[in-house]
Amino acid sequence: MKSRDFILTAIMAVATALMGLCGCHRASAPADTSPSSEVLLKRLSGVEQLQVAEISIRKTASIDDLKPSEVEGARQMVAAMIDALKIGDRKAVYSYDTYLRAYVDLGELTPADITVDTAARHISITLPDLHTDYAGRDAEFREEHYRVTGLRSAIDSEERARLKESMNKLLKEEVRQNDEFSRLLIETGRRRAESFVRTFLGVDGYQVEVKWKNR
Amino acid sequence: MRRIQIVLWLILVLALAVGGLALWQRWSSSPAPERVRYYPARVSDIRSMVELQTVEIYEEMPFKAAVGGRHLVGKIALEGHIGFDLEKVALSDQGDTLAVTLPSATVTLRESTEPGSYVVYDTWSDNPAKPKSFTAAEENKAKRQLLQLAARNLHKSGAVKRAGTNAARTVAEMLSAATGRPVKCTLAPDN
Repeated sequence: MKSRDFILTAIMAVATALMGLCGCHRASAPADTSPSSEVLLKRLSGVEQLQVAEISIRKTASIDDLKPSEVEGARQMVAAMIDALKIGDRKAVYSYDTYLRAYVDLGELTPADITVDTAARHISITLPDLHTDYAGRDAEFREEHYRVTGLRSAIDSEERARLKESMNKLLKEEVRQNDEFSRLLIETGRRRAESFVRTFLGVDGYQVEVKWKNR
Repeated sequence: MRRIQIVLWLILVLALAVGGLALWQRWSSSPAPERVRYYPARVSDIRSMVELQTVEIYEEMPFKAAVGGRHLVGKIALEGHIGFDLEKVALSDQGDTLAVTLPSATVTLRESTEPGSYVVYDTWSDNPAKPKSFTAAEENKAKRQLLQLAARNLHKSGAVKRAGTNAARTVAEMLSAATGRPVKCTLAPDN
């Protein structure tokens, strides 16, 4: 009798707990919220920059378990053995683009840099050298591939944010060490700037000669 | 006999300590496990343009998203600029005066490349029995909406109009210096 009462009480307790959990779930999912316009810090700076070129640099990273054939050292070997015991796969590939731009800072242009010869219908302009800097990165993080199976944990927002941060740091280091990116950008920018300035300033049929400072 | 036993025990303990230290040093100096592989950065596109940019933007804001009872809170930093495509400028003669009309402003807003520009502080679900994580697609959609809102706010606050006024002044000065003619530069009606 006592054991039967105990079993009935236990069943009632579990049922009550389950009902309580179900009660936490709303009958209908709440509407998705639209983004807020709160701002923590805002800076608008007046500039006079003529952007003439931009390159997109793609950085890609993949997440995967360690394979015993690829390990170096004891720690990686132990981690690879643990990964081999896990049930399921955890693989993903992500990428995003970062932008580098080249621009002329018009604030560095002085009246002495433009000489106009109305008789000869000739304009000579000496442009300040191109600057290059980062012009942001894609806010979106492209998921090229995602496969998480078995008992493996999903790749969540926190992990993706940390991954993007690491990729950003590495990309900046690569750009710093490899001049090829800025060389390509400056070459493209110079050609465009020269072509535009000749057309824009030659609007009245003047012949325009374009030179660069520090070149 | 007892002394010899003590000495032997001491030697054994010392040998174990040295061996343990050596193993520990080997362990800690071996490369840490890394389940992420990074591929070399490569150029995916190169474009040339002639865009006069008169306002640079930097904003940090909370990033909040809610999808199907799941919530995400973080912080995002945006950077960008307001610019005008000078190749779409319309030029015409009005007697001695050169009339210039600037095209519509382009507001470019992207995630900043400064460290810590995107941080997720917390994600949770209203129903503990259901997963709390957002998919990459859901997160990307929320970010797109935020960027669109930030761009609309720039228009509403008058920043785009002010950028246009500055651009018109710059273009007028440049053309006037080059042509020696008075230049009247106006903005497109939708600026």
